[in-house]
Amino acid sequence: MKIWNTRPLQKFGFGDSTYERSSQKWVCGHARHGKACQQGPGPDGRCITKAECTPRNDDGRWLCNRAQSDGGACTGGPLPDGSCCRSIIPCAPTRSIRAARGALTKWVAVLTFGILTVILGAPYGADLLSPGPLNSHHAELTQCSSCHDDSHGSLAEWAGRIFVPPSPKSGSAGCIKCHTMGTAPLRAHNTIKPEPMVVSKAEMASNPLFLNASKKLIGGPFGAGQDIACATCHQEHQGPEANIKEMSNGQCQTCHTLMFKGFLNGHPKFTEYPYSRRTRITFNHEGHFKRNFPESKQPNAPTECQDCHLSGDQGRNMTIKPFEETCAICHLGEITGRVGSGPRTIAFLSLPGFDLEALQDADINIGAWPEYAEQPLAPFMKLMLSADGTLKDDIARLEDVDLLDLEDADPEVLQSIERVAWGVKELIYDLVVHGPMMIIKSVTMSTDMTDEEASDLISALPFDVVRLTSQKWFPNLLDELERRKAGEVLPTELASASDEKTVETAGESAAPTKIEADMKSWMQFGGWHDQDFDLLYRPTKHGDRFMKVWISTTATASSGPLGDLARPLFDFLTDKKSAGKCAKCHSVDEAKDKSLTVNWLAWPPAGKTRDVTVFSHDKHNAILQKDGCKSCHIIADKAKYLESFQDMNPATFASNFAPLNKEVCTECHTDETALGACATCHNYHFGDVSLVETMSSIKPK
Amino acid sequence: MMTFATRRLRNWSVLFAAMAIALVLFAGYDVTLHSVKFMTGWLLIAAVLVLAMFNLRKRFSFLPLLTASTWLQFHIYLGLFASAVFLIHTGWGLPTGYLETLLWTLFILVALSGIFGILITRTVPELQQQHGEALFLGRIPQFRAQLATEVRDLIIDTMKETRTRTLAKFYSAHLHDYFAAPRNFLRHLIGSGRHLNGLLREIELAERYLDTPGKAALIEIRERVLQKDTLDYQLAFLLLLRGWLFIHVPATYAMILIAFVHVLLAYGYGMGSP
Repeated sequence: MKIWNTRPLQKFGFGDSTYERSSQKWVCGHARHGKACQQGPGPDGRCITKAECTPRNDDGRWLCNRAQSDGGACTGGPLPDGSCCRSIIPCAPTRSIRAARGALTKWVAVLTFGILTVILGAPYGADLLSPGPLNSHHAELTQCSSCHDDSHGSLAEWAGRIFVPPSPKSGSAGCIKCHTMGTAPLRAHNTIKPEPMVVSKAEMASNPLFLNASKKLIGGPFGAGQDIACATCHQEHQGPEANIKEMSNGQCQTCHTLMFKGFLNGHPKFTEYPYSRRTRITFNHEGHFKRNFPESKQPNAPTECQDCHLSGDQGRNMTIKPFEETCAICHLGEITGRVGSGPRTIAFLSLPGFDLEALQDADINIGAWPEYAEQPLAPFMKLMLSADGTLKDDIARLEDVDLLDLEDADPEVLQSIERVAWGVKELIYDLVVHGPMMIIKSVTMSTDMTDEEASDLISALPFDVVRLTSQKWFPNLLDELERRKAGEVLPTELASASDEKTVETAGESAAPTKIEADMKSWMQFGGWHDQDFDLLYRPTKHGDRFMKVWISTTATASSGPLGDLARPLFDFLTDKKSAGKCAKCHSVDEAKDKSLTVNWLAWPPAGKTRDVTVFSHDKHNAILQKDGCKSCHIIADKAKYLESFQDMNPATFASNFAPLNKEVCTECHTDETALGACATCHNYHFGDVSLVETMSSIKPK
Repeated sequence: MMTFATRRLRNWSVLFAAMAIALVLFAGYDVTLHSVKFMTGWLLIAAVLVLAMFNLRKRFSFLPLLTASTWLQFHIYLGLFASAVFLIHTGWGLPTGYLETLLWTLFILVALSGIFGILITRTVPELQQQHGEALFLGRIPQFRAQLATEVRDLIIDTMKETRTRTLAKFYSAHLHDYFAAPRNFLRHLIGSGRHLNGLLREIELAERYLDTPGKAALIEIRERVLQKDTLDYQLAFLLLLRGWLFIHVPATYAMILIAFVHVLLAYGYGMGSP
């Protein structure tokens, strides 16, 4: 049974129901009791009805005018004065539902406006306006202006920016305050000239129709020379845990989509990586693996990669263990000259030999000169004699001259010999009298040098050695120089000099006793000694400071004003057969501007330079238990490794190892493992990328 | 004339087409490294302003600006479109800032109240028709007063005739408050008849204590109890039909104001991305 099946309540009709004024803002207060008046409240919400009807006058007679729906004409009728006899108690009109909704809307709008006004004006409003907490790395940035340079300004100015194209430069200024991003921080890959990725047509996996269409319709992404705001990729205010560095493949492929779809689909094979430049240390893995190590009689010859390599640089690289723990066992003797062939010493000072009779015949006056001197001019001496410029041309003139056969020499050559000869004497005199500072001065004209380096240049050159050498070469050196200074002409004389080793006993009165010295025993530990008409130096150990500083200094000076003097000495010192044999392992790089860099280290200091490609050996070592390093690094048979070092171009390289096999990587780096993303292995920001370092003064206040 | 099903099919087709175009556009913005948030943001602003114009359209009903029905259809489907854009704009997640959270809450409030409004305007009229007499909201107090008066008169007449107070006591105990005001608002909304069954049971129990005139009066009273229940039912759903707008409309204007500030902040604190 439908319980609501009752008589109808609602009637429609002029006399049966009232007229509904639903659009009126106010409703009679009596309506809630079911007794709404016929007229209703006024438009201002005040009760204006005083009686049930407004009697009408019909020819002087007042007639009741009450509506039929209210019962029609009343029995009492109007009062004599024409007013209704049935007065109505005034009501308190209420808003209609629609008006109430409108009023609520206004109040809510006013309240919202008030709240916004307070927030925008209040000093603590910034916290409320902030779109969210910053990343935990930025937690210390409590002021909006730390990052938002443009945040200052009125609401009108903010509104004005709607019509102005955004400026990446000003928008990103806050970021660059702290983040060093090279010389072009807002350019793609923060570099002005990003290296183009060369990919063949065959490796292009897709034609980016959608991207091309979007570029035409919408514009962008960013052409050459256009800045990219940091916020294009890094969206802050996403909470302390948000990863604001995350990059999608799509973001990379905005520019790189022509290249390939992803790592599995179209990524180029590794043709060079990671062997993009030659190793800084010349080490033939193939030769050592196949011959040197197996044939070595050393009990500790390496048998595993880890015998020489060590995970370093926070696991990113496999660094090389120190020389003393690896190469020294076989190669230290080559450096000190105890084993192997070739020169063991370097002539620091050499007395050049001249055809003295020819000089006498030509009336060239060089004073007394040892008869048995027969060495050419040592490279060190050439540099020291030429450094001040006065003898530079003379030495150059004598470069290809046989100084021991001057019978047919040009007069100019002979004149040059005279000047060089006296230059040698003055050099020796200066060295004895003024000390080694003149050596330092002669080679520091073109390069800055620390005291430590200057000290290494002479490497504790003993005064006694210099004095003895001077006395042996030129017994009357001081007398000759003074007489020549006085204008006297000193004809060329043949002088005899003794090269016998003498050891004086203590006490001035004691007669000198001649003792034969075992020079081989003395010199096996390296250092200074004179022999014949040479002052020699023998490297003492790996990393010998004398050798290292002279090689580095002449390398630097080779591209400077003394380059034509320094370069021969550099070449002499870095000859593969030179004493110390430094350049046998330490490769030399020559840049396009001819500047030379000696690679003393196998790896350059990590510094703050970030590579394009990132790889962590540590992360991969654990999963390569079966074949270990050989999973990726496979020896390339018959690679012309050593031949690639014949020039000084670091890009010329034939690695001992075959290029990495990409399929090894794709075993794990798939889309399914989420390791196939570009950013897994590649940095967007590379090069000089770091945080700005703080500068803290330690001066007392 | 277009049927309801055809119209719905057409409208949903247009909505899906618009969303598809928008998604393609957003994807184009994304691959060209433009800010999709700015794009969706402006689209939302435009959509919300157009949606808000529906309320203005009702105020200026004299203007020949399409029919109210057309506007309503446009309002509904544009609202659904804006909701989809809103989800993309917010990244399908909750915001982290206070102002953004307030704006997010208001939009959700407006959207959900709008969807609720659609649902009840589709269902309530049918429920009203099924549940007795469909009434004007403004007339319900009058009918309630009428029923209360009739019941009171019945009690008084019966009391005079029978000179007993049994019916009057029953009225005081069970019926006075019932007729005095609208009752059982929530019970009607959830479709419960428990309150009415209880009252009818009380009437049945009271019948044994009444004489013949009293029983006759009780039958009349019972009918008015049923009518009052119908009034309450109709009132509950009529208030619901109008009540959702008390959330939808004010929240819309508050949302527009905050969205305006949100836009200013986005530009004032912009970081230079396009």
